[in-house]
Amino acid sequence: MDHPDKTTEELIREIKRELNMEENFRQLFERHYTQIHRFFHRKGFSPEDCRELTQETFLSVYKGVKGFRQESPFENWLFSIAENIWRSELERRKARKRDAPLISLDQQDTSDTDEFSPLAARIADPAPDQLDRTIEKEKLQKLHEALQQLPEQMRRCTELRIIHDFSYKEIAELMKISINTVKAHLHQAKKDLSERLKPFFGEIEL
Amino acid sequence: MDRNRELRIYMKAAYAKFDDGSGRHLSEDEMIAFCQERMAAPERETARSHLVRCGECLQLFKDARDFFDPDREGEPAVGDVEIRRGWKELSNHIRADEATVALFGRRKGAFVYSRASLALAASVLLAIGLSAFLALLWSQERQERLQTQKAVEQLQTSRQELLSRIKELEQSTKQTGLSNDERLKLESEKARALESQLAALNQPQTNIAEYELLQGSGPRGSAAPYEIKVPPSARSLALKIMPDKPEEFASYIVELVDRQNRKVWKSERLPLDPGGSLIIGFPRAFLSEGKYRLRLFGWKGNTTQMVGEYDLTLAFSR
Repeated sequence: MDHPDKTTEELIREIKRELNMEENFRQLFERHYTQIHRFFHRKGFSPEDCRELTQETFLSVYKGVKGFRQESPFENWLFSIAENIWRSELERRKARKRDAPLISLDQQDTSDTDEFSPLAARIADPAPDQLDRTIEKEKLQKLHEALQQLPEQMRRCTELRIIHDFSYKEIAELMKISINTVKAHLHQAKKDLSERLKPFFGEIEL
Repeated sequence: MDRNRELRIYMKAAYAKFDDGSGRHLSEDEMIAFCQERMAAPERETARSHLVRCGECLQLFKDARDFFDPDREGEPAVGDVEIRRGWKELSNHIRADEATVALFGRRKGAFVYSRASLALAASVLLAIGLSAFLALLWSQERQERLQTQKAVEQLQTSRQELLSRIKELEQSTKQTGLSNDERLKLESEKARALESQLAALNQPQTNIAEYELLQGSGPRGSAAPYEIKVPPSARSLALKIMPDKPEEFASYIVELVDRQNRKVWKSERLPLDPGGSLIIGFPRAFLSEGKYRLRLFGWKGNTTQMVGEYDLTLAFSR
């Protein structure tokens, strides 16, 4: 599937001039299909969804290629399109979840309880009471204080691991430290945070 | 890592609340250059120091890595067969799209429509469709205009009648020498009665007999229950209640019991209408003649409170 004859930039130039469009676009497709498919696979989509989203990406490329000014590399533009399609798909799925069918609060619900009582009586009041709010605030404050006690590099490693789910390798590359250093930081952070936060958050894994 | 779900949520909140994530965000091109190590060393250090503090840029960093990194261990390979199939699907899709037929053609050697003729055909179709749509719109507007005019005329007539009645009332109360309060009370009762007549005029005629249960009519313990005589022509009857403080409760519960205190009918979560009244309707055949008690409860949150009780005597005229 490799076509060393023309560079990507040459293909784009010819496509924009509508020269040999089908053949040139096919070459572009074959050259970048794997990259885009892999991107969606890494975002966690099923093989079927990866194929569909890859198609959607190339369709957008086809429709928009005439407007592409070639001021930056074609791959950068391709990345931008794929990323937008990914975000749109996430939004669409979130919206589908939000539009889930409504259940009448008056209907009897026996699915997970022996009580025969209307749903409304068992659904918690969505507005947390004063006590819940106080507990939440305290937990947040304790967490912030515990994190601030950690040395900066250790704290950054912990944040990258827990909030952003980075692997050891990704943390090491980003922070420009060795993987062993990352592991050591996380091991120590786990010890320190567990000591301070176990009553609030239970066992911590890093 | 799922064990840290709660911790992750709180850390994100703490991050957002306490960390300023200062510094300029990286553009997509800069992020790609950073990932591909094409940035000069000083800029790279500045970018890194911002990156480790900025959630938004970290997400972009992850996305760029997911896009530009070569194959990772354990990832499934994409074969030539799948790529060829993908191309076939895409090219069929593009061919099916009318706007690109002129570029790809239908099949090899087939006639290719010129772009000009396609554009002309599209314009003609658009023009025909637009004209039909405009004609329909115009006809609808005309009908609506006529209906509105008729309704306005009716309302104006009713308004004139209402004004002259109020004038009559003022004159008659002057003559009888009633106090201001009594006069106001009479006026408001008459106005309410006229309003419901006006409302009835605007409603389609469906043979409903309406009865207003005024505060104090047939209350519990009183000697005189509210007498309801349903005329032969009425196929249903409507009971109208106007609570004193309409804003106090979100909705109401109404119960009707017979003289043996057996529940005949109940309805919950009834809101007031825009006029501040509650109208309960029954088909004629639903109730038999006799004595009833109607109980009204206000409902707010999870509590109910009795608002009123009305004793009724129902009779059907033959």
